[in-house]
Amino acid sequence: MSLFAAPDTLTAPQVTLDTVRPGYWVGVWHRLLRDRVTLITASFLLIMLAAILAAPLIAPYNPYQGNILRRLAPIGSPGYWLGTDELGRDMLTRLLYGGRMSCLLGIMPVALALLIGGTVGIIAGFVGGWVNMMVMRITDVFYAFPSVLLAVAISGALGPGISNAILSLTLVFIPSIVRVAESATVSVRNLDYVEAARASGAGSMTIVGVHVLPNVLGPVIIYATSLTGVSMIIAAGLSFLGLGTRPPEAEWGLMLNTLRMSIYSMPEIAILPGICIFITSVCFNLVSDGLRRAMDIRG
Amino acid sequence: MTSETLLSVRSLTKSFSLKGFSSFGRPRPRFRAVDDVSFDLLKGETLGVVGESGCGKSTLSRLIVSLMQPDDGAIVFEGQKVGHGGWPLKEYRRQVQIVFQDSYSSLNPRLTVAESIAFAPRIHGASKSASMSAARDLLDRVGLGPDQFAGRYPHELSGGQRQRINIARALVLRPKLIVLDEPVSALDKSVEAQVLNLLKDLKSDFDVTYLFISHDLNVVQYMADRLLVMYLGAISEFGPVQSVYATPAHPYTAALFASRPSLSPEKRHVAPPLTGDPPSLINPPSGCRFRSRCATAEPVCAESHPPLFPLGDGHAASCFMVGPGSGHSRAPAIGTTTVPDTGARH
Repeated sequence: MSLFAAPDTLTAPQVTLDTVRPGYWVGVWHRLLRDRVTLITASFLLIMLAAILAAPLIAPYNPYQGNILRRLAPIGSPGYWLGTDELGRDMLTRLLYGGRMSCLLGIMPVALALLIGGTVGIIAGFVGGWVNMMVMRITDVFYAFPSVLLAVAISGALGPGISNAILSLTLVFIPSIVRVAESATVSVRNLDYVEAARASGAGSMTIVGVHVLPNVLGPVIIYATSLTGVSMIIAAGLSFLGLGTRPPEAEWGLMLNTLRMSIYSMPEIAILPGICIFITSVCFNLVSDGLRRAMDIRG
Repeated sequence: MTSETLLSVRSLTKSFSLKGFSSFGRPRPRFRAVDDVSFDLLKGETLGVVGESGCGKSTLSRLIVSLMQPDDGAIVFEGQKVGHGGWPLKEYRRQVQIVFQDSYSSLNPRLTVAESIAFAPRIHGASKSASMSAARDLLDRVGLGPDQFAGRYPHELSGGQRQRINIARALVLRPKLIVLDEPVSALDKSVEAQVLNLLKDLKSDFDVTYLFISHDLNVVQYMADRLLVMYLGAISEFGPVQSVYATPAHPYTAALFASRPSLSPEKRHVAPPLTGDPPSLINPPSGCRFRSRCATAEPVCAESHPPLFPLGDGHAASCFMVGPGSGHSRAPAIGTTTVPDTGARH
């Protein structure tokens, strides 16, 4: 898809020689506006977020109340556009409410991990020495496990529940964010402008704030955005295994689990939550790619 | 030029331990990047420092701007020791600034050039508007129109323009000493000349002293008043530029000069004046460090490292050939100081 965006990026680097130059973020915004793929996926995500946030207002039915006479109504049934699930609950309503939970499980762990892992990684990278070695070796221990396995293990130990799922996903993502933040910080720390700032008499906090953070935050945030899709998928996996959210709750992964009994009778309905997960995580990944392109100052 | 001393370096030593060796109780191998270096920097002069790659030039520059702490020895700035109990670090850094070789990595890519220049005054308590106007003023002084350049980012500038920004950044605190660590090595020859002339102009405008590190002998000859030749972390020769260029006393200096490309086709080199790489710093040769590559080495050279023998007029060389009564067959008799014929071609 990025091939189609190529002509845009080719015409992009026309450096204007205005006397008043826009700030960095204005430039990022302009580059984003020129990127059609990112624009479309980002607006799709925004519309979806708005819809799931407004679920109580726009959902046509109660997500928990089923009608056993209308079980597994096909797509397009009058009054039930997307059909009903195995307990006769409206699929559209369930998908809207499920999206709230899925996006919470997609964004929340990553945001927490970004906060904790980013701080730890930047400190480890900037301080260096044995602090760095300790932090990175501990990170390596977590890295030895596949992330899904680790999430299942932690969730299993903590027991089912939404907050436990968020906690386990946060723990899963911290090591990789620490690693990205650390390597970005180390590469920046050794550049001459950090040395020059120190030679100018700047303290460590100022150097981190002015010279390290702005140059490290970009790659770390982009990486974290790409993790959001992964987080949603693992959260869905946890729910599917019965470790995340529990049955009456609507959540895409859980819906996939309960609907799998109907996969032969009503495949087009059973697949709906999966399609939602797929589209949302692909959108998150494409937006993160677009962000990376827009934030590259040389782009 | 006054002969007042601005900065004195006394027996400065810095060693590094080698990484990547498993220790298992044994100490890691260490090497001395700067070994017992002493010299004085006079107010208002330009002191050139030359030497091969890895001879300790950059370590010396980082020691002088306090980006590294020496293992031994002292740096005295305006009569006061640098470090514990002497100059407060922040105040010292206001007085001594550095310009690095790589103009691109010396500038934060996320800051406009004006912001980069204004950073140091902000650190030292100037208001935002005062810092920005100082930055614009400096941009003007280094020949970049502030209206056109203040809002640009480093990647929009050429190498020469970026190095001008770095010079402006070093000057903005009005320091007394600027360490120029190969400031023009990465630039085109035409741009190099412009930047060198700019540095010369700024030196008189801002009344600043330069420590000019380079491996380009022509550049140093153009810029420097005095010259310091380093080999493997130690001073091999020291003196006024004219006298060192006219009569290099150390065979290493002579070889360096002989390696200069000549503009005349008749004077092409037949053979390189020096062969091989410098010996490893981890295990330097005993006695004179240059012994292993020296054509006139004798047994006496293996016994101890030659001290700096004065040759008069501030010229000194660390070679037994110029030390009266040193035991070298070419050494002058005690009581005389002559510069031997080292075979240098100019």
